[in-house]
Amino acid sequence: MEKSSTTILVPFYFFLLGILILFSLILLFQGITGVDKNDGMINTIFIMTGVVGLISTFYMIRRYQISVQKMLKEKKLTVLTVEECSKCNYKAVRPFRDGDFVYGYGDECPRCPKNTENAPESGSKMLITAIYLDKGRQEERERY
Amino acid sequence: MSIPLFLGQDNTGIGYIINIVYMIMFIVLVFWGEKIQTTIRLRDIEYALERLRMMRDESVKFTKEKLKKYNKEEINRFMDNYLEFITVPPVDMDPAGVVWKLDHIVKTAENRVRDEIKQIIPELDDGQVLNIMNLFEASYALNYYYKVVRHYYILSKKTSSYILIIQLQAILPQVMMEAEAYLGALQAFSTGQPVGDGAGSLVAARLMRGGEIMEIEKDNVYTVKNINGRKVYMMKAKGPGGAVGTPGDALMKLSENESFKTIFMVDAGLKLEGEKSGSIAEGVGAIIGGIGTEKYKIEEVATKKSIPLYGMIIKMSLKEAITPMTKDVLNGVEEAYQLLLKRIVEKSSEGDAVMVIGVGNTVGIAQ
Repeated sequence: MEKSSTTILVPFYFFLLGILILFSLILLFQGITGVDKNDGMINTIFIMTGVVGLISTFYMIRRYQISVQKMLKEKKLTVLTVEECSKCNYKAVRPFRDGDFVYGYGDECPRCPKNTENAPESGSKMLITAIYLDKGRQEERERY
Repeated sequence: MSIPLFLGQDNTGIGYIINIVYMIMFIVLVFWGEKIQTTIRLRDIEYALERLRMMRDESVKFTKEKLKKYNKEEINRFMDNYLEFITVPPVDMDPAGVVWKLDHIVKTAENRVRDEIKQIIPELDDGQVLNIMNLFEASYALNYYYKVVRHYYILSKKTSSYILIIQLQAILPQVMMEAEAYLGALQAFSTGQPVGDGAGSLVAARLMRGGEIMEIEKDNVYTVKNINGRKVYMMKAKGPGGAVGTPGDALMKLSENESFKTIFMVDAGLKLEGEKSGSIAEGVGAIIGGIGTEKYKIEEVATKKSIPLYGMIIKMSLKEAITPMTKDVLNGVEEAYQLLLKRIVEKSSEGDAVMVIGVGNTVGIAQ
């Protein structure tokens, strides 16, 4: 698969943030040590600029982390399987397992005796009546 | 040192510097304002494009990872080829008969992909092949989104077209939402979980329970039951594989030997923003999505034989349609099922033959 021209953007973005952090640290250091011994205001401006620079760069890094985490998190959805026993009407909800499908057979009914004569194809297995996402409503992403 | 409160009121060194900075800013904004805005907008597009690329790569990696236990090299080769697969629509300068041509082309494409998957992984059953096809389709869609956005991004950069950049930026939130929906679909298709689009199929499956299941045409099943003296045919795509079936072909075939008095269709439908997921809307007409070929066939049968077409849609967002079915949609299915039973009795008389078609992808839903 071809490499995108934007592949370099992420490292470049972090390179710029790195420079910004370095620059902010220098300003902060100069402000604290006192670049102008006679003027406290200049020192304060240096300190404030350094602090603002550091806060904004860390905020940008955190924002990037959150966007990546959110993207990965969205794939981990919990899906539930609802099983019902056709004989005793026992109902159970459990996490989805590979091979489950609606109107397929799931686990054995804990209440009914095994190998009943009435339903030889399924034995005492419960029928899967529904499979649904645990979270009732999926959140829409507000911003790309 | 004194701090300048207002511009021009301070004649110290800092006051002059601020004045000069303001003048420079003014000149810069007058001459390069649009250029700066373009750069900012392009940066936004680049960010979205990078995320699209990540999503595309993630889906391809996920699909390959899922299938690595089979013929790894062949699957990788097939996947790379499939992402660039093209289906050329028929010429429509002379529209007569174009539906049948399109139907033929789409079926050819589908059969080809299906046969190739079967050749590469012969141990899969038909249902699993369909689920894998759906997985490939999700990756294909993500690749397509990425390539189209990249195309317009590069084009707008090359031409420095401000209008093109604004247009691209305006549609990006919608594109990203759709791309994220496709990314979310991977889990459902890889594990065979029912998706929201299967709501129509699930309603039909509920009606079909207990009946004798018969196959008809490609990927369709039907059964006949008696409901309050009505001979009700119920049809859906054959599950639990991810099939959508060919309800148009099946209806044409069944209507050769049966004169239906009413046709009911149930399908998942896209809601408008602000509408509740799982809510039901009733109406008339062939309620079926897709490229239109199946819709055409159903309308043909209904029109030629003057059969009223009734239907209902279960509303959901695109994301809900292609990701695991939500509780809201499931509640909508129950509501649609009850409503359909009521409408069958209301809209037909005793002895009538009624057709019920549950439309949608039947992944994870048997019959």
